[in-house]
Amino acid sequence: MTLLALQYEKNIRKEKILRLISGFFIILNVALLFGLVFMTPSYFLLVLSKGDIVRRLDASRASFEQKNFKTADDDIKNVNFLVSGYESDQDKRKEFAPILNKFASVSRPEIKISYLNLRKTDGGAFSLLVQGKASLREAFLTYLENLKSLPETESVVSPINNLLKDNDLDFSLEIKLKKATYSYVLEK
Amino acid sequence: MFWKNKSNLLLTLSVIFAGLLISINWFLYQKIKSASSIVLEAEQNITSLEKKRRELASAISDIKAAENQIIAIQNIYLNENTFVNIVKLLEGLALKSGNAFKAESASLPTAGKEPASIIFTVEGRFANVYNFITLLDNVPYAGLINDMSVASKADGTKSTGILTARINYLIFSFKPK
Repeated sequence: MTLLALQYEKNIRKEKILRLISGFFIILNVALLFGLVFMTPSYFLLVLSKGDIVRRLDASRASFEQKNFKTADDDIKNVNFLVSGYESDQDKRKEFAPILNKFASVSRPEIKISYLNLRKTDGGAFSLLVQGKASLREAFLTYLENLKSLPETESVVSPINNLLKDNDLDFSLEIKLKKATYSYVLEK
Repeated sequence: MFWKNKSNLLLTLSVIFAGLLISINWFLYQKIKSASSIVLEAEQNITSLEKKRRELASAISDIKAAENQIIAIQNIYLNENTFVNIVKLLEGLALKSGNAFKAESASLPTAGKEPASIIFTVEGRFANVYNFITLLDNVPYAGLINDMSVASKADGTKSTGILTARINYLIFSFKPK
């Protein structure tokens, strides 16, 4: 219960609201002033250090240019190119002697080889053409099986004509080598 | 009337002052942001230059340390002027393995990454020819037998036990001048 007249009561409420809003703004101003106080030194610190850092950057660039690193960069590229080319070329080399040794090791005394031809086929793989004479058909068949069982062999093509005679038979066969064993790919 | 009221005056002044402070803070914040981005970028550039300088210096010292290996690799590559080296090497290998040697022809690429090739024949017993191929497999030049035919050398109808191997050898270690 209030003893004030209605008009005064309204004035007092208005005055309270005004003072509350003013209080809020005063607190806001204090906060903004704090912000200003903390930001100003960091601004000047940054402005001062900016010049110093830019000078350091210029000095680093000048030192980089002076030491002829650009030519060094070219030298490194040339060496890398040389080494990668060398490695790629060395990867292409394949040894044939171990393959020849393997095929010779499965031969039998009854088999006499008179002609060998290593050649590249259309698919990029290599094949070995073998011609010779076998004293016995059985010996030739064993030789054929031995050739087929070698891990280097992809397949062996032996025409039926090879088996027409029982003894002293002339044979001609083609051993297709596995690509992983003996092949190469040229760079374009 | 409005300005005579102290509360009104205080509120107005507070609002004006707050606006002023917000503007100054905003302006300062933008300045700090701009300066800080410049400083950050410069520092990143310095770090990157330093890193690159260290890497290059290390690579240069590595190249200097591996100079002998680099020269050895360069020497492995043949060209038109040094191609005779492989012919001499093959002659030496044939002699070492007890074979007769005869170079027939050679093909040298003029450009690109095509390999060079040399066709030659070696004559000897199977063991000698096999030894030659073993030595050929281990030459320093990167290469490969591209085609080879081995036939026994006949003296009339009588076999002599001597084989003739005609070899087409590809040489990848070739750089045209």
